[in-house]
Amino acid sequence: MSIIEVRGVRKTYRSGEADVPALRGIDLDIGRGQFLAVAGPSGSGKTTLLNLLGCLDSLDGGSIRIEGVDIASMDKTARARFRREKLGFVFQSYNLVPVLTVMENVAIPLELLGMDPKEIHARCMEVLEEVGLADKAKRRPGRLSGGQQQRVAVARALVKRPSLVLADEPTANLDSATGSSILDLMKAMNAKHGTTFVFSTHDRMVMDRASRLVLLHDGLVVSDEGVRT
Amino acid sequence: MNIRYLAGFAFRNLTRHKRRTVITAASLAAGLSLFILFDSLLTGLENDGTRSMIWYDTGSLQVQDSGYWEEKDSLPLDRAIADPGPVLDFLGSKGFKAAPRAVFMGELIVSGDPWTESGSVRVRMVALDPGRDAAVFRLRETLQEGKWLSDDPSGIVLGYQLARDLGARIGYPLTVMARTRDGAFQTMDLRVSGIVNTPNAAVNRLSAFVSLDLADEYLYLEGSVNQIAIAGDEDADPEKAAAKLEEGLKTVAGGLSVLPWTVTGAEFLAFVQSRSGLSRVLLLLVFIIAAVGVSNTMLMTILERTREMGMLRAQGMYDRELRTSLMMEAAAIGLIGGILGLVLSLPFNAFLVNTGFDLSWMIEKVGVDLPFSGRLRGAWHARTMLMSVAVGAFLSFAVSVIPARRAMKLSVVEALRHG
Repeated sequence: MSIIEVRGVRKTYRSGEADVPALRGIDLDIGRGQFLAVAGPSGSGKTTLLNLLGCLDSLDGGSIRIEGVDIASMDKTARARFRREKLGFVFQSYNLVPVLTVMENVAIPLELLGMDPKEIHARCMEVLEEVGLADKAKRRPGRLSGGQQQRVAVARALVKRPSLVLADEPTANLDSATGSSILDLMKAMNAKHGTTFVFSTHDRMVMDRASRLVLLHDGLVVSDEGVRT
Repeated sequence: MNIRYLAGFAFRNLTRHKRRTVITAASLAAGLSLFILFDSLLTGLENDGTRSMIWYDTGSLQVQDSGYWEEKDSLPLDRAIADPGPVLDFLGSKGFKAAPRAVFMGELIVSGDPWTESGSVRVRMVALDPGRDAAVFRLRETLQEGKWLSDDPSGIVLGYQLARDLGARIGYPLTVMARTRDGAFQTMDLRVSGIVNTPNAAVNRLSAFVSLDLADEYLYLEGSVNQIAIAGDEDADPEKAAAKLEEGLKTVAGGLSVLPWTVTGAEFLAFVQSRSGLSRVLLLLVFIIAAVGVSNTMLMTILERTREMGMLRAQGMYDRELRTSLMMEAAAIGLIGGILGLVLSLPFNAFLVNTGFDLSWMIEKVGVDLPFSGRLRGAWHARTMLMSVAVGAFLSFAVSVIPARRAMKLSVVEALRHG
């Protein structure tokens, strides 16, 4: 059963006087629990696709349904609420808040949901255990390595147990060994919680470890290697 | 999202650039403490002036003939309370301390030995009943040399500055020329019996005092006076007290008005109010400091944190929540500035209240006709102090509205791509 249904999605950006099509009619079904990589050269539209799936941007044509909800019809606030409740994000440059501790950074999505402080603490500790950073819960991100910071970002994405985690080039700022360990971690989370992961990537290692690889070129799907185990 | 979480988040953000936060708060603190100190001096001036006016010149309330006030500048003796006795009895029965006075314009003429120079000067003559007057005014306590009118009812007591200007000493003879009640000129040959040095510069410079009996004899007052001054409760509303008393007096005599010190001292109050315009200018300056300083700090903050704010919005934080958090951050800078300003002003204000500045030399030189003592002191004004803290926070909050709105203009995608 598909968690995401993408139908005829188009997106065009304006650059000066010219229209630049980023996506030119994409159809895609993503099943629950998939570990999917979207790859392609620069300008192929993979980040645009992720932004649309993440309700961060509005589409110009077509439709996207996530868990049966048509996100194209949502206004700005509804999209924010949807992101708050359903989606997790991992960014290339971690985007942690430097004045908050590791625990407080991980807690942000739960604070946004207005959860009880005790439950927030328990959930954060649980996910930090899973990413191997429970002993660093009270540290500030600035005192962690790049790999550890990305683990914190993964923990933050997973802490509210979202249906879908979107990761924009999550290994791009990491060396290959660290990037590999982050992938192992996400794969383990995918297996343990059945969370759907969608990555955009240039990284061959990520493509090789994905259960499904979608290749984009000039805003169109040129290859979809299907579900691999 | 929990407002406490947003507030906590805002406070944590203040620690990112401590120096910037401290500099912005300090500039606000400097402006606010200046405002507090200026207001303290103004309040001190008002309190001191009001006290000096009531204790040495006007009393709290004054009973007058209803036609007197319109002609007050000429201090007419024919607009008088013809028979003050029943009025004084009524006031006494109501528990008021009252003092009858005849106030009139006089010309002090000095010539010959022992004066070093001859000449004349126009003064405000106050004829008073030395016994009753002491219950309302504190003139006797300020006697610097000589005798008060109770001990020498045939003499004249001069204000300190007036005596200095004339070169007067105790025992010097002088002549007072004034109009009688029916308008004829009359002269009184008197000797200087005392010199009073009150905390009221106007009284010291312009007034001379004689006994009411003496004035009655020379000016044919026939027992009439043109003022009955009353000592009142200084905390009571003077207008209400005056209106109530005026109503009560109707049972005793017709055609009388009761004026509160806010009316008899209107010139002084107008002077104070004109100075409070300066206080508003200072507040405007503080507002500009807040507007420039806090907006600039917030703009820098927003620029530096654009990507982070993009992340928070991507996580589902609503724009209004983020805006609130930013504005709370600005308000916190203002609050710190306000508290710092208050703390900074305390020792300076303690100095102003306890010691103040001696400006008597200036008052003597300029010849100020206002009821100031010459020592400029501050006053503790809790409302202004608390208001300054609130104003600091509120102004900072208000001026952060535009930068906070600007922060939301970028889309989430643009914000995440920033930098």
